[in-house]
Amino acid sequence: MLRLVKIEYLKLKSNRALWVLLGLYFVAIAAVAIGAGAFLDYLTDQGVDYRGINPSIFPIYDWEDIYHNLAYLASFFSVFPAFLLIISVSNEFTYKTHRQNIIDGLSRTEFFLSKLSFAAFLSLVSAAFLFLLGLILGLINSESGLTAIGNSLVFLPGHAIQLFCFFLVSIFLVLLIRRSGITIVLLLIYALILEPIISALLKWQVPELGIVLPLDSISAIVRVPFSKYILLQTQDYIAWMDLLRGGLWGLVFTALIFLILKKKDF
Amino acid sequence: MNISGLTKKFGRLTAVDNMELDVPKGSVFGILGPNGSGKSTTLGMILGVINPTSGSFDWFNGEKGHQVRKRIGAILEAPCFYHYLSAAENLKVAATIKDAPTHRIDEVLDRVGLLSRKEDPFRSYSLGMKQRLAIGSALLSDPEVMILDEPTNGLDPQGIAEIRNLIIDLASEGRTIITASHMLSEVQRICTDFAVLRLGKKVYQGKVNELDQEKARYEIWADDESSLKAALTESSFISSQRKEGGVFIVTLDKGTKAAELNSYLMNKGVVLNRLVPQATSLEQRFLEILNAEEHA
Repeated sequence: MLRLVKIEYLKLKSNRALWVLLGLYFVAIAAVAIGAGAFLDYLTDQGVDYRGINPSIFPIYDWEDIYHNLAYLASFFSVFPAFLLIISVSNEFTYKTHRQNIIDGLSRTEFFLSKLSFAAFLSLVSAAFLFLLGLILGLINSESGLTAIGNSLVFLPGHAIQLFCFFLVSIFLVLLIRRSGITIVLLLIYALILEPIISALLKWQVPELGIVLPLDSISAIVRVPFSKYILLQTQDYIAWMDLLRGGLWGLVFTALIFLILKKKDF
Repeated sequence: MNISGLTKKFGRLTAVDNMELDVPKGSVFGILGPNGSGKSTTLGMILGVINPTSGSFDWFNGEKGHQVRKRIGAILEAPCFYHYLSAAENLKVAATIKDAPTHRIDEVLDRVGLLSRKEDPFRSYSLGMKQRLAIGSALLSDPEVMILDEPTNGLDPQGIAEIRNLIIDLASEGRTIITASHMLSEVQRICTDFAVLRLGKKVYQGKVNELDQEKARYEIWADDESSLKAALTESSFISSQRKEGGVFIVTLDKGTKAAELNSYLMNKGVVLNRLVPQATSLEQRFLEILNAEEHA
């Protein structure tokens, strides 16, 4: 397995576009996470308040909430590492190196595992980054004791699973389409337009169905955290049902990816 | 390597039809055929990139699966590398896949004359250099068998000569080499065996040196033209003779060797100062085979 990750690393380490995307991802998360506190202070300065609550006292960096907030925030930027994976797979098709890899002695299953293990590796790196970022922000800002961290740490593995499932959707699409540009556009159209429309229609016609569509299910692993600050009921844990539903879609896409790689000619 | 009953259908089109092929160990095996005769599809299947519709193949007397490909060095069609990586980085990827030691990288780069360019990105390479890098990559695992599909495609005469010499060297080290090519003169110069494919079927398989003996044509000349001509006309084993330019082109009956012609003429008192086997025989044989198949 380590050999497969190493192969991916050797392929990617001198590709500038990929490092830029990864850099953008981390910088964007860090910037928004750090900027959020400053923004709340700014709102307070402007005299904004919500039912008499002054925004700067929202404990967004509190140990109890920090990883839930960060995991939710990071999900907005998950397209960056997803693009990275899409480019890395479509590069293989453009350069026909996927064929050469097979000719050189990689099995199709190994090719599939090398892409997936790299996706898993990226998910873990992202979770590790959130852990460090949360640790720093929490140490500076948290008012409660460190013991409260136990509540929100569960969102780190939750984030990694969510990101990995999203990567699976991206890899599936690029295997089908083989061109990075078209894949990225289609992924965005589906995620931002198509699925929201279908989802709204379903909710309207069969409201008892709840969340069923793939991207909806995957993003539901980490629920919206901020509603608690305006005193609404908020799910501040990861529900087994949510994890199961998202994970099930992950399995479906893994199976589809595997099927494509086994059946199609390279 | 052994192929039996290998078939590939693309929809209604049958690209490779019940292919049977045996490549003897230590041979330099040329696969010939017009465009679309199934050469690349066959090689694609035995290298695992195309799924066969039916049939089977094995390597080294019975080995199958992807592990065995690590012991084969192969290039299919154009050289395929990561454009943004340097030659050395590309070979590192290939070596990791093949489980080949990384110290081989400099060795093979030296072998194909690219050591001084090893840090340059692949996209800056000329076609000849790309082709040589592909052969270098194929050499990483010190393979017993090499498969080279159109290795001289698109190269200039100097590039063709470089690749040819490389292949001859590789063959002389005892490696089995399978090559598909359009360039019949190249195949004739480097191959020991050849097979002709047409419409996805093997229509002929034979040895290159037997080819000359089967229906050999020679260019001959002697100073005494009239007695040479008389001797040729009298002989019983010459199927045709024709004066072309300043020489006679004679075709010998099947099974007759050049030595017999030479000693016959000596007995007649004709001393040859020129006896040259006609190098175009593979091309002629190839066209004959294809023509015969078309009319069959």
